[in-house]
Amino acid sequence: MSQYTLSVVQLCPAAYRDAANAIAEAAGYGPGNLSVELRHTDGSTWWGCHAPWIPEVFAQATAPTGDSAIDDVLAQVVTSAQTRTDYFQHWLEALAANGLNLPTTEGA
Amino acid sequence: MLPVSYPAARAVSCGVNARRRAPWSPRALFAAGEQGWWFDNNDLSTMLQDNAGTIPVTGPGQPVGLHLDKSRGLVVSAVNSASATSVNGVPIGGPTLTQYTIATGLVVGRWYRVRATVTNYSGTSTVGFTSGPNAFGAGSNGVIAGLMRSSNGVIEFVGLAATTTQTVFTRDANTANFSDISIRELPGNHRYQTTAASRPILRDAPRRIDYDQVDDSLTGTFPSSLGSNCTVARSIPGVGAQILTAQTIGTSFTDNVDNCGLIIVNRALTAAETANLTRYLNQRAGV
Repeated sequence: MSQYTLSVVQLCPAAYRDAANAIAEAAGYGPGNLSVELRHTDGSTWWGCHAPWIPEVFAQATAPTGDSAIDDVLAQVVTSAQTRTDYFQHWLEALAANGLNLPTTEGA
Repeated sequence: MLPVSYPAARAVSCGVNARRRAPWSPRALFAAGEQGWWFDNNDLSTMLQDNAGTIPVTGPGQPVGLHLDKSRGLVVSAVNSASATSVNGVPIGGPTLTQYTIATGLVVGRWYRVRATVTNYSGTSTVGFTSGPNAFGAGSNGVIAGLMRSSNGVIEFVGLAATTTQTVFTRDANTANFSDISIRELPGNHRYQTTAASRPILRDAPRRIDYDQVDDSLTGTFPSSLGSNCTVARSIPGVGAQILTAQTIGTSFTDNVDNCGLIIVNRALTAAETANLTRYLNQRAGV
């Protein structure tokens, strides 16, 4: 039986967030999947999410569709997919590998 | 010998049973109609993978998108709210849905267990329960595959009524008969997560709801504000009972703390209740 063995971090520049979320919602994954605001070392804003996936389903969901309106957006989404269960550590590693941090509050 | 000894053995057994107390249940905290939550992670029948309530959680390692609250006993109503319990859907030869009203008296904000059997299906497109502008969307009006099918069979789900009316539909060149249509209230303050990436995972040893600490959470609403004297009790994995008193909770609550059980009551507990709850939560936490 297929299990949710794949830990998937997905990261996206702010300019593509709404389009990527709309594609995910249209595919039945609900609204606002890219929900965590991030800051790139270059000062730009990115958005991210983490979810466990069934490997076969993830392969289908991320395969090129032939529709450039969808594929061009998904090409902007940076993905780290690994077989592991330490999700938060995976998340932190993926952020570091892509020059991303959680935004810090001024004066905090 | 058997006819003589059997009644005697049964009499002794009954005497023992009469003195044996049933194990304490958190349900007792809600006996006077208190509002709140009781989520029992050991009861797989209370968990579904999707917020549309169509895919049961069958074991650990699966996401929890809809978690059913047991504070009201989780007893399905005997009343069938479907005013039409059978419908013969006919083809219309176009892309527009043909909708058939099956219920008009649903109560917005209440949860229902919905079921229908599809027979005589023909065509190439889907038939089923309409979501979105109709009753069942569970907070999202996106694609809810489990509410429809393109073959004969049963459609079954748990849904949150967003409007009072519900329809079933056929479309394109479909023919389908819906029978045994049932819409029965499932009382409780059930919680859910509409966003797939934000659903926690059920894990074992000890059995717990495991949030990824990135974006996971489950949210539920209450009929009215719970007030400022709430008790929030969690079974923390490997640690034990955590009971917070005098908590202020409004008309909704979002949870993102790993737990082996979660109970919220809109009042303070007695010493005896606290002792029973502590034992219960410690046991669930594996300590």
